[in-house]
Amino acid sequence: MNRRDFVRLMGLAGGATALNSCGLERQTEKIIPYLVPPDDGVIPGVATYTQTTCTECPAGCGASVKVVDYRAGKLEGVAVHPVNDGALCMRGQASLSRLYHPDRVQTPLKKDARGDFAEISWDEAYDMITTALKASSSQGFGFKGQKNTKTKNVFLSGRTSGTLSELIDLFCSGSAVERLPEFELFSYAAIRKANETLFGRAELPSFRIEDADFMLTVGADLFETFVSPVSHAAQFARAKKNSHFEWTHVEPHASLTGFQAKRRYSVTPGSEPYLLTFLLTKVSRMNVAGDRHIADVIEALPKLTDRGFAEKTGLTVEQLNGIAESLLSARKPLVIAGGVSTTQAVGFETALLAGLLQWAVGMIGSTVDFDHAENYDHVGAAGDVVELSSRLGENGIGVLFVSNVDAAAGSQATLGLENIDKAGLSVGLTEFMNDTMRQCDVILPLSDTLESWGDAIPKRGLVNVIQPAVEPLYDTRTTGDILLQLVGRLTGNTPAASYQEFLFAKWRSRYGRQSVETLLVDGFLRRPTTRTAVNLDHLATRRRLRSLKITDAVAWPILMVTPSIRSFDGRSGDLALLSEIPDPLTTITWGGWLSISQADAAEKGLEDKDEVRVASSEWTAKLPVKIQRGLPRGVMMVQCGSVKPVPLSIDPRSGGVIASLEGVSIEKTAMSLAVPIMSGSQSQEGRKIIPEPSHGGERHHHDPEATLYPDNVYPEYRWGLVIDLNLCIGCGACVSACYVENNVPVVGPEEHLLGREMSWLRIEPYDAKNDHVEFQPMMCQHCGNAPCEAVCPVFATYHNPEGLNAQVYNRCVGTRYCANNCPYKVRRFNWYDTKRPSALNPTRNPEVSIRGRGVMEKCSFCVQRIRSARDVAKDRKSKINDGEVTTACAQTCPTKAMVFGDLQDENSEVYRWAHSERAYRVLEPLGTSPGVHYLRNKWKNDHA
Amino acid sequence: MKKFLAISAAAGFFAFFAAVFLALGADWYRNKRAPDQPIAFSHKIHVGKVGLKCETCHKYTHQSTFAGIPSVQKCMSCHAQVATDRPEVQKLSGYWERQEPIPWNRVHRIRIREHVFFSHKRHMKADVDPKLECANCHGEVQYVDKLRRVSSLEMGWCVSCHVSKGASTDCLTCHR
Amino acid sequence: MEFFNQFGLPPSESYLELMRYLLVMTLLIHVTYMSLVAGSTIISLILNSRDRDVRNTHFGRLAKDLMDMVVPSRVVVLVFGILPLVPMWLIYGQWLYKSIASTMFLLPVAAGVIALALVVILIYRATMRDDGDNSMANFGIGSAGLMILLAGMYILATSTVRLNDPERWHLMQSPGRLMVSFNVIWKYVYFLLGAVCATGCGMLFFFFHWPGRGPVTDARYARFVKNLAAGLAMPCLILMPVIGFFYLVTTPIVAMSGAVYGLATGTVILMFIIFVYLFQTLLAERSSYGVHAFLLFLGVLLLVGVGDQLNLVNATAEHTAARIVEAEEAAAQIALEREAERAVAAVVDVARGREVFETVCTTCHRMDERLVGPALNTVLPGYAGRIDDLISYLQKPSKKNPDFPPMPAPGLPLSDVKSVASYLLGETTDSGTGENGGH
Repeated sequence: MNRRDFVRLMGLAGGATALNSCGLERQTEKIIPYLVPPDDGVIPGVATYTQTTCTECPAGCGASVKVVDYRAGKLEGVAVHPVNDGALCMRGQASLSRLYHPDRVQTPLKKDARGDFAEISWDEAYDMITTALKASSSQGFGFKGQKNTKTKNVFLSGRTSGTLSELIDLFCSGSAVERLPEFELFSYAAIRKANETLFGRAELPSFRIEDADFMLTVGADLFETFVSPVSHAAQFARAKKNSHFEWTHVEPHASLTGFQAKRRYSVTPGSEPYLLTFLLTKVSRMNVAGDRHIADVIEALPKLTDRGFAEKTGLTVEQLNGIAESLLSARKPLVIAGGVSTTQAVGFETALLAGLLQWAVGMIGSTVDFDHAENYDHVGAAGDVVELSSRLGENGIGVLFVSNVDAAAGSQATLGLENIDKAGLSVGLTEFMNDTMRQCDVILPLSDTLESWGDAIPKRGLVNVIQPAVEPLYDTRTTGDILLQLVGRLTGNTPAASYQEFLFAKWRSRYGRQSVETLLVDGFLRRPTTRTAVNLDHLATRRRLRSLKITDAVAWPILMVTPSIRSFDGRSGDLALLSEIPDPLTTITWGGWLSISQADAAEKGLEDKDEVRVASSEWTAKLPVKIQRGLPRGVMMVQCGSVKPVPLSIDPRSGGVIASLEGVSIEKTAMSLAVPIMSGSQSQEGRKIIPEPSHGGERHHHDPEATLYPDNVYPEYRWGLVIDLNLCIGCGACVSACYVENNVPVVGPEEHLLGREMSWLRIEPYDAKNDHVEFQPMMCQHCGNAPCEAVCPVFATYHNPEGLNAQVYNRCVGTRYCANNCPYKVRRFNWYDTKRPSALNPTRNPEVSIRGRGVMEKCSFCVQRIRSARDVAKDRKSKINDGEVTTACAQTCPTKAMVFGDLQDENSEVYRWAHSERAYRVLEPLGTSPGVHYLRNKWKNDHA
Repeated sequence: MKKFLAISAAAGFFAFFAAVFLALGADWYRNKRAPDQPIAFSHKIHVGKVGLKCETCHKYTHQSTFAGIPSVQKCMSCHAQVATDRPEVQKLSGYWERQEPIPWNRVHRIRIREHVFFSHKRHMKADVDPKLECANCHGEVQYVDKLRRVSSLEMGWCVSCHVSKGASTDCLTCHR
Repeated sequence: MEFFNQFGLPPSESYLELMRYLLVMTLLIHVTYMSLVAGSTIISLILNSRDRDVRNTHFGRLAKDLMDMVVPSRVVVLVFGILPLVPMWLIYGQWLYKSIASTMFLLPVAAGVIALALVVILIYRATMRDDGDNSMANFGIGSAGLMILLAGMYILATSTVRLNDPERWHLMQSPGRLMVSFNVIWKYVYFLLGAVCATGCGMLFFFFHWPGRGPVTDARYARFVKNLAAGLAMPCLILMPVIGFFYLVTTPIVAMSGAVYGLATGTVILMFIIFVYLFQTLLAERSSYGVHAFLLFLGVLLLVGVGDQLNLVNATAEHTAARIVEAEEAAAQIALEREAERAVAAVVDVARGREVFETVCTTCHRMDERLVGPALNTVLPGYAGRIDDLISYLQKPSKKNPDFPPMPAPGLPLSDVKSVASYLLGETTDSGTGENGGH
């Protein structure tokens, strides 16, 4: 080596050291203090809660928003709220990401000549609208400049309630705008129409499931999307607690709700009227309701022998009589017809007869409650939109306001809002761009619910508050503020400076100061309702029944379009989290699919993931197949969100949607698609993961397994979770809550196809006998002696003194031995640093680390919640009391099927549950002695 | 010639180490020394001489995980009148007039803080004897003008104290 | 520590400054001497053992000469080896006044051990005869002495170097945990290398340039000594920067400052020059650079010593600052007492009081508006007729009202305080009544 090389090397080494040593530790980090501290008493890093209302669906659940450092971090149900009683559904939990969604419309937009949207100021937008309105009201403004005297300005909006609805009226009346019935795709038009015919009240009653001792549901997907799922679930849980509650579910398809019923019968699609007729005839003989005229009303109905009815409905005579008997023997029976049964060709008849049956058995006023009817007063039917489209078509519209509507969901199909561009000026009020809004001339961006003031009246006798949890992120306004502005600019005098003032004025006049306080603090307000007698309009009914002809479903197979528990009518589809969470029945995450019965699959030689072309006369789609247990032969299901356009049509009688296609053709293409089906197998392989319902007797969870290791000692707490499978309905709300609470990354379809899902908590559907499906939530079992702990080479996972199976992320080196050794398969590995949209960063929980690439993660029993509960407890120098700490999943469970707490505290709820005779632990013989206990279902799976 | 080679080799060697030491020095200067602050605020004066309590300005020490940095307004509440002639105080009033917050440089920083959940509140309210003082970790600031980090704030240091005070050393105490 | 705190006084700043220089000097003397002793003993022992097998007269002779060089007499040993430890001890005691560092216990131990070692080494030297034949020299005693010496130096190193880590002072109660520290170990290795190096340079210096002993007559012996000295010193010189690097990176950041790195660089440069001199010496016929090498090496030791002091100063900055403040307070207290004596006769001068009030108090106080402090007419009525309370308050203010920051001591002479007090009370009673009349 000569000198040059030597020196060169030295230089190199020197440089390297220098660089390296410079990069050791940076400390050039700024701390920016407040200029002037806010005087709202907010302490940095300390969470506050704001009561508001979840607006993800019309149900109107109370939501309390956790806010830390002016960022909304999580939604939780408002405790003791009349609707949701502290719970939120999957969609409600996920709706937080709407606020911070990167795709939100951030400024007013104007469509230019080329059809692109350009930003404009609010003033410009207001001016355009006001001038257009003035013009049209003065000389009648037609489409694009043309004169047309009979033009009208119309205001079409999604379902509104409460003060906003009033304000819309005020605006419309003040400025010559016609207010159209509000748009909801699933508006329960059939039921409301039927009630109008029967009782002269076009209303959707609320159903008091908790009071019932026998419930017969016909097609109604109570726990998924029907009217108020969370409320139904909560009531069901309360009802099922008392031993003599019976529930028979009759449905033409297979739904999550159906599998929760004690008896689930598959009825031939379109034959529900026969079933109800049968029951009516049986009932009318008894004349339970004591209505003398009922008999001759029933006269009008088709008469068949029991066998005849059986043939029509596809149920056995025994089953039919069984239902009739329980209906008659029940003290407080309840019949609910809804869901697919009321959105098919004979949907109206079904609703009509169901209503009549409710009357005939005397449910009206007891279990069917019109006094607290759901608030659909301003809601029209999907059909109205079609009519509007035609009006637009003949240039009949001057200024068109479309507020919070995505009616173009099925634009190419028979249903949808069309010709928007034919309006003189079309104004879209929306938070997100959608097919409808894209056709508008002007877009006014709406503030998210979490940024807005408002109120909601989901049902009679209940007022919810909507108050802002955070400052508006963008240059957006609430509908209320926009309308007030317009009113001001048109008439010259504004009712109030801001919608907030308008609200408070209204509230004070309506409820009085005291109540307003409670409204703001509790988040809701109960209002007295006037008891109004509901009476059957015999003449009208009889007339209607005479003309009633029940057309049998002839053309097979039948395709049923169901609203989805994950995206409802498709509106929640733009929340990525909901696509990440598996569909409870099929465990499919991303993308759409077609559910077909085992029989049909066998017939056509189809298997899961095979692609088929489904086609009817005017609609066709290509979808992968998923075989669905419990689905009767000849019936297929597709979910609203998963196909565009949605094959819907309008029922001329009710104006509601008909969501079933008869005589569709289905043929197999050669393709087999990649579909992310999360559950590997739906068979328990005889492992008794969900054992038979037990009726007491045998000893449970003290595992006999001898161990070489010393027994665990828990000086303070032994945290444990008990899940009552008797109450769990597999709705997946817990999964959603877990994602939001624990910063669980959303990794997308590609990863899922590789089996790399990240959810800490999953719902496993297991096939049971008699075409039944059972559901079981599965998360880290926090084993007393955990297989994962023994194999970690770096002690990144260990059993902590409180019984938690701890996972220390900054210690984990990613060997993945633990995951391989876990018998419950609940450990998740970060294959990449997940890229979240930075806009969503505020939704991260600051109490939980973001896991990086190469790190294992899993359920932590929400350790951060335990820590903060301990923090509170320590401040008052005591232990954590029972009920002071609960996990995110348990907190949001609509049926309160989960209880979390200290298994050592003999007075704790969790202790009581864990020592119930129904308690068991999954794979107990392995000797893992899990900290998670399950309670067997009380109802035998005697489904026929 | 051989001799020359040997000497220059030695030169290279010693030069290399000289360079290394200078590099270490540079690193210390850039990253490790007490950072210069936009305003030469002196704890010696405010705590030592005037006798302000820590909580007077760092008001969240007993309420939150953060101790809290006083707002500019807080500073001005006194310095609107007091010592307005001092150049540093004039810097302060300059910030106030421009309505800018003061970009302080962080002195106490946990190395890999995204993995550590530390709460000032819990430590101030810790049930130990003697009670924890701010000075235990931040040094006796009442004696120094320019604040520096006297504790390494590394895990070993945390743990040694947790052990000696009998506090929990369960990983989940700080890592989640 | 209490023992020392009884005697120590809160040191003033200038006093500490002085202490610091003294300490550096003492250390320089002591460390140099100890490294010479350690180095020489090592080398002489090695030579002796080699002497056993290869009957080389030079070995034995040099072994003897070396010991003569470093431990010529008891006096030298006492003066350079043991005495410096005493001031060192006291100075540290002053420096660490009221600290919990256990240095003060370790230092005497080190001193004792070192003293013992030196004695043993003296014996070892005594066992060597003047003629080249050292077969009788007591190898055992020598090595024993060396071992004890090394042990003593390690304790010394620990007791000083560990001061750089105030964060762990509280651990220092247990010697076990105290002794085991990479920082100390590197420092110690550094010392050992330095010792050999120093001895090498020392040989060149003392054997060839020391006036007393004059140039060595025997040319072959001279060349042997020269080559051995240079040959031993050079590799150590090469190693020293490496070890120095490890020492630097293991030193806690609190003990660091830019100067420390600068000094380190300085030492490296000096080392290079020394290296060149030694190299020349090695090639040259006769040693001509002994003086330069040795003096430069003293320079190295000086830089290192200063560096260590800086470490100590940085590490104990808060501690020292606190002591200094104490000292000032104590002084102030004394001054106040003197003042009090004089103030018995202090004249109360209301005009003076007003003057003082306008210059001092008005920064925070107005009569009738709230500034930093409360408006005086709200508080003063409380003192009406209690002038002595007001005076004592003004001398030593205490926090009264939670809404206001506590009032700092104005530090006025008692006469002024009295004047202000009387002025204020006069003010309020005059204007105060008016105001009270107002509302």
